[in-house]
Amino acid sequence: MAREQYVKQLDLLRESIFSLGEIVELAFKDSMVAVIDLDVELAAKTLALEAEVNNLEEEIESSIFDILALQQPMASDLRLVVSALKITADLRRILGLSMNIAKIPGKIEGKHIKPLVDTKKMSDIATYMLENSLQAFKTQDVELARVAASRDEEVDMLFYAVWVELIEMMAKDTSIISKATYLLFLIRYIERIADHCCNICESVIYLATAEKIKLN
Amino acid sequence: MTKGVQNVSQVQIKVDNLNLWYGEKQALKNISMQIPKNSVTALIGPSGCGKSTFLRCLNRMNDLVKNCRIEGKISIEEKDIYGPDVDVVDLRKKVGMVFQKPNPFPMSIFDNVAYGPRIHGADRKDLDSIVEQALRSAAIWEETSDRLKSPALSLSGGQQQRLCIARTLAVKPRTILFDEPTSALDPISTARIEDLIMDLKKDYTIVIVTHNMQQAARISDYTGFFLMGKLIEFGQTRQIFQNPQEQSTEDYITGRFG
Amino acid sequence: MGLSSKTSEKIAFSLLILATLIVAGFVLIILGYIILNGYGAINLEFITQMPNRMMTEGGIYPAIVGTIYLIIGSMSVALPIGVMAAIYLNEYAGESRTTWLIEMAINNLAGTPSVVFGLFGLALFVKYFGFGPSILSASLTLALLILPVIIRSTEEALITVPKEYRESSLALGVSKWQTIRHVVLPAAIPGIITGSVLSIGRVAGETAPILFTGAAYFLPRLPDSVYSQFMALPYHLFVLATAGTNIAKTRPIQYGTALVLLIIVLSLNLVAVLIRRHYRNKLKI
Repeated sequence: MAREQYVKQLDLLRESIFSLGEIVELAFKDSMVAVIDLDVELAAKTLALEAEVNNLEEEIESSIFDILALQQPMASDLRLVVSALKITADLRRILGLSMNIAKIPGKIEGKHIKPLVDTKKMSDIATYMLENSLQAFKTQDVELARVAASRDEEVDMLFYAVWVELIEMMAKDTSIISKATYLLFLIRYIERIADHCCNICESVIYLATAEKIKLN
Repeated sequence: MTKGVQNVSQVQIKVDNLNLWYGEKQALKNISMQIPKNSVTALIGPSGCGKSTFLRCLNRMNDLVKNCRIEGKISIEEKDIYGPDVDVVDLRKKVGMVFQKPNPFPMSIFDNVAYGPRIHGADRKDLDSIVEQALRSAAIWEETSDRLKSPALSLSGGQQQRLCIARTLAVKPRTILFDEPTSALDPISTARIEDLIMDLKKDYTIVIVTHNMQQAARISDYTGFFLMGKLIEFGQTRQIFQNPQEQSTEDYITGRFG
Repeated sequence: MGLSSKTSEKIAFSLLILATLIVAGFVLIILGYIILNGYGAINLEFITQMPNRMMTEGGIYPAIVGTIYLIIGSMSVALPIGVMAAIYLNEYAGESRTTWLIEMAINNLAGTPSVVFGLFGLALFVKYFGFGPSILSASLTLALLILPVIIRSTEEALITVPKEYRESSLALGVSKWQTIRHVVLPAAIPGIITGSVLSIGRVAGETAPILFTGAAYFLPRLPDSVYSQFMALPYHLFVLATAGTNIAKTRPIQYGTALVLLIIVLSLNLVAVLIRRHYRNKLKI
């Protein structure tokens, strides 16, 4: 096998993206559990993940620059490096949004104004999208990427449903506005996370087929 | 001033204020650098910039050139190689060199590798193992083990170059100089030689002159940029290729030179 | 108006072919003439017997032996000296005024008429060193004659050895002399042999240098030491053709002698070609 070190470098890059994906996935899931249960302790633990992600992200970026500057990647290697750069950015945004979610429990006193049923559904779908977009990246499975991205529509519909519901509740009872606003933010965050998952799926499809498509 | 690469754990080659003239023409101007041990150092620059001339100072191949005059100091393993007590022949045993064109001797594969050790007085009964080990280290044993007696010139260009590397390794140098070792080879052979060079740095200090910038980027740990006889910049390869400190380095690396 | 390039191409090509045909034709005519006239004279007796009856009968055995002695004698002197001189000039001497002078001298030596060598040999070897007219004197004279040829061709052969061989050997920590001995000389051997073959042809064929230094007009016995006089084929031929008692009667013997000389030179050439090919095969693919 020629260019052994370079091939190792690319493998290492792939591995790093996997680990980044795992941490971000964990951060999102835990932040959702924390916000639904209003578990401040779990929220704090989740917030602590950011430093780890920052380090990993920095490592990935510098290895991408090294590969671009020193190895002149071509064809599928080039697509891998470009996709890796984009996926890293998307994962970084998903982590940022998860951090925002994890900050909510600390701001809500007492109970939620309503049981978070549809919000939970949204987050389940977003989690599914995140898991499967990362899985699709691992296996370069174009079909799985398309299926995962197609769930974005459900998230959007739930987002509008909850949105309208919250607006109506606030119109009826102005005392809940403060708490309801956090929930509005929350669903907005989840909706954004689903969008970033679509971007990851796009990158996976570009990586596997060199086709540039819009999925959301 | 010594450029780049400071605080290196172990320095293999130390150059201080090296100047070189061919007759009246000054080919190297005030070169100072420290080449770290067990690393690959690439020397890049446009044709005639002095990189090959500099390389040939390190094993005193310039001694063969008439009217060549050298000032300054080069120490390898802390020994001044231009000192009065230095045996050039002995120096070249410790500092091997691989050339641009694959140039095996017109003898068998075995004899090519055994050539150096034989002349240096290796025991006849050790030759087989010396040759095998050198061919293995040069990643060409698999292709040649069943035809050691065939002429070296029957090998392909890339194989010949790896044989030349094996021939150099058989003398057991500690530093190996490569003078554009892949410029006569196809991409696949080039990739194999590059892999080999990266592999060899475990046991050897390697200095390679290349006019292929991408090659320098791919395989080296440190890069020196030469221009008109001067060492413009020397530092870690990733730094030179991502954020060079000198404008002329940037111009050369980005292809905007001239 | 010039010729069209096609026409001039045709004319040039025809002229070249013509020149080649002329050369080849003459070679064939000479060879054929000698063979046709000479083969009748050749038999076992002719090459193993002494000449008798004032050379009008008998064989040419002593002349064959003498010529072979000359070849061996002159080559064993000229080859080592010539090769060593060429090595010095090409590998060690560098470019200086002295080297240039030596090279010029060698060139001039190569152009000197062979009769001058003969006279020089007479003065130096026969008289001054007192070797007398002998195989030794004649061999040394012939050695001088072919020395420039051997030096030239050895130098040529050394120059064609790629400089990469030298450099990579030196870069392996091998000394200059070891490099010359183990790499440069073996690679130059085919070229050196080619040069030697040309010299052997000259040694076998020259008359003038041996005329003054030891060749005998008629000597129906074999030389018994290096100080003996001897017979040689070219001189024998000359004598038969110009000074014999009965030129017409010895005509078949003349052609026979010429043919034997030709066969000796050609077979030596053949041997050299074979040796050269052997080395080429060993060196190259």
